[in-house]
Amino acid sequence: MNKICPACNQGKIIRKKVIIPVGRKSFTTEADVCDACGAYRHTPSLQLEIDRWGEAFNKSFIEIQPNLSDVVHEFIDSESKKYSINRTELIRLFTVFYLNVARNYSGFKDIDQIVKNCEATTLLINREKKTISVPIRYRTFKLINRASKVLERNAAQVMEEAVNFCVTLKHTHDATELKQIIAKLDQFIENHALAS
Amino acid sequence: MLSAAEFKRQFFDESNDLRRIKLSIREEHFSIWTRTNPSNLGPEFLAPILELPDDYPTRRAPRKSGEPGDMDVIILQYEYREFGSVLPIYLKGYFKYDGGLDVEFDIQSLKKDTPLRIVKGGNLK
Repeated sequence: MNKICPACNQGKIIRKKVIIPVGRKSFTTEADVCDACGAYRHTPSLQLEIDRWGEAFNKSFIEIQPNLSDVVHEFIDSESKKYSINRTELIRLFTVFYLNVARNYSGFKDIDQIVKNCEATTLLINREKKTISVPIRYRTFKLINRASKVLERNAAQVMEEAVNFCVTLKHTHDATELKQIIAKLDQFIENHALAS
Repeated sequence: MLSAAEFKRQFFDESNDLRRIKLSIREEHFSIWTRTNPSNLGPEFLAPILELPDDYPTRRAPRKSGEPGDMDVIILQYEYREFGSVLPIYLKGYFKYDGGLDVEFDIQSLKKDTPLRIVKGGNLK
């Protein structure tokens, strides 16, 4: 019996090769595909196949190119030397900290408001900008991809927001409300720098 | 993971659609029909369904497309919360019975939910 596509209700479902976009890469596999609209059946086992394929990229899955101000670049240079890690590693740590820790922190909205309103934000961020290429692994790609859907920004904007937030945070020593989260950020970077 | 027979038994024993959906997600008896562009959201956005209370409302509507199975689609609107933000989600799917041998929840839509808006002619879209 012919199976009719649940997505378009016109095409037939056939087993064939499908190219699935994953970031800027493509995963090719065989799946149930509609011969008219091209919709494919995304099953948990297909997701597992994609995850295994993505995690097999040892060094970098894709590169994200955030646009950061010259002062932020300088700060990242000096800070990465302090922790003996490279610049892109520090940007990745800022991003993961921002998404996994800071944004889930109770009272994040208040903290974000303080950070956005502080003088350092204007001095650090509203300047001439240049891009940097940041290679990321598949797991970080999945995190940023999820965040870009929830926050409705593209991947580079998510990374820019994360870096600007963390850099401003590290420049804001006078606000007592921020002391706890600054300590958490320092601890987070130290732990990961030691591990790497 | 439950055996196919045990899954089917538990599935038909469940008291409502949401509990059947939860069981299908937990036991990985589901699929998301995805077009390459525009794409449905990925399976990770189904996770909050497992946390919904069993009496959380779902709606049924007559089904117009898809493979043999339940005559209705089930519509579920819920929220995905992460990164200190909320993404409202609209899910539409149906229970597919593959010749009575296997049961699966086929998801046709898994998208960002948009509030109802009035279009030309006064219809709600």
